[in-house]
Amino acid sequence: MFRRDKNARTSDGPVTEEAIRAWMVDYLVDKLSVEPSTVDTSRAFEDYGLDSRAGIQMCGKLEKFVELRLSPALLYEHSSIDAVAAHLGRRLVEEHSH
Amino acid sequence: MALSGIPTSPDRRFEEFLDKSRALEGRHLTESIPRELFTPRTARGLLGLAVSLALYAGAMTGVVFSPSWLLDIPLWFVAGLGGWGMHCIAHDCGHGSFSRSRRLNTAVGSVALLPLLYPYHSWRHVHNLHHSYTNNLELDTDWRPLPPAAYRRLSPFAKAVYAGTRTWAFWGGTVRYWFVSGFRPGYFPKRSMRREVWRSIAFTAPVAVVGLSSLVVFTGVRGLLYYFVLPWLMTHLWFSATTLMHHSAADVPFLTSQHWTRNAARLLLTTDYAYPRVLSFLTHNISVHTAHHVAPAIPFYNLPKAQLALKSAHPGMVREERLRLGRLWRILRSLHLYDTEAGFYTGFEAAKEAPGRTQ
Repeated sequence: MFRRDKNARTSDGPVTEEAIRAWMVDYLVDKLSVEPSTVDTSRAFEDYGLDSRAGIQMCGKLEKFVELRLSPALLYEHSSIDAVAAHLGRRLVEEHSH
Repeated sequence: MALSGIPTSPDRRFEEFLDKSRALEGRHLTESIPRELFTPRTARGLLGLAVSLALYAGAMTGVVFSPSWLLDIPLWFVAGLGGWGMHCIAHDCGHGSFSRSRRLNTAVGSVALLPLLYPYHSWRHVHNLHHSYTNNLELDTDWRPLPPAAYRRLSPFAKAVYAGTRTWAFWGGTVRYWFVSGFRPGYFPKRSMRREVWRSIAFTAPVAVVGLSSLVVFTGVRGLLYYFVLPWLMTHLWFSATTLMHHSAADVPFLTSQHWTRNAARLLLTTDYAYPRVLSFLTHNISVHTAHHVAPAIPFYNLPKAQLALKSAHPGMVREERLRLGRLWRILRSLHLYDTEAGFYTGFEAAKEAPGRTQ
């Protein structure tokens, strides 16, 4: 019950596109029990066998990492790790400029 | 649900909306509002709280001594208005427009939300998310309509809740938001938010446990129903009706992030309702709502002047209606789901169409 959530943010530094990409690779490695070298960041999520429920769960965890409210449709709109990281990287820049 | 390219067949109404939205690009909307209107007068805010608290307490005292349940019904309705007015004061606290003191805002806001048993920071953060993403189809936290295909995929229970809160049980809309966000720190994306939400729960939960169990011990289950549950539901009735009416109309679109802009969300997507003076006084100008969305830091008693300034700076941009029950009826009768072709609301009948016609 009191286990620390390893997907949550552990530092107060800025979240960059690269950090988001690394977090998503870690998440998939953990979720799918695969080697990090086998995760291709340009591959579509559905190629990894992620169903919509798993996608929404991932979104929920990612929301805590980037500290932004995310659309449940995020992984449909941006279908690979690279695409999500690029999109969120842009959004973070926008959010911080306001 | 792929959202890019939605709406798929926008009509003239949507194009006109986009024209208005583009006309606002790069404008600093708050500059049209005189700076002095941003200054809070705490005594005026406290007077507002006293009025609503007196209305709530007076109506509840009436219920205690009422000789008949027939008299109880209007008294609960008035208690709900008092509870809603207290929420409206907490609303100012949440935006920092009640006073300059963050501590005082938190203290007053926490107490003012007790009739709803809504932990103050839970409410504040969920409300700020609504301000950050007003009428954004993906991210708004209030009354966000589902496309027909997404509605069809809901479980029977979720479908019943959605259909109920969009029609006969609209008063339960904010009960659902309370249930989803009130006591769930994990709902909030930021760690700092979750920390504050825990603190508010630590205040509200013990008050609720002690208060409600005392009610049961001293007045029985009937007392719990009469002195808490029914006024709580009546407060939600005001809460739900007001918030639903502010951002739902046949000609107000919901937007994907592709079309959504901050300025349009602040100025173009709210409907203000001209209330009778007494109702405006008791609800602390909550329905002077466009000026509030443009500049949430304006205290409630300055909103009418801010609204005038806004209307004069942006003629034809502020939506205003006279308050009529027919407006609410029209929303409940025909504005239920999101029309992915036109970009506006549509009715439940869209979910019955052949799959493939609407997304």
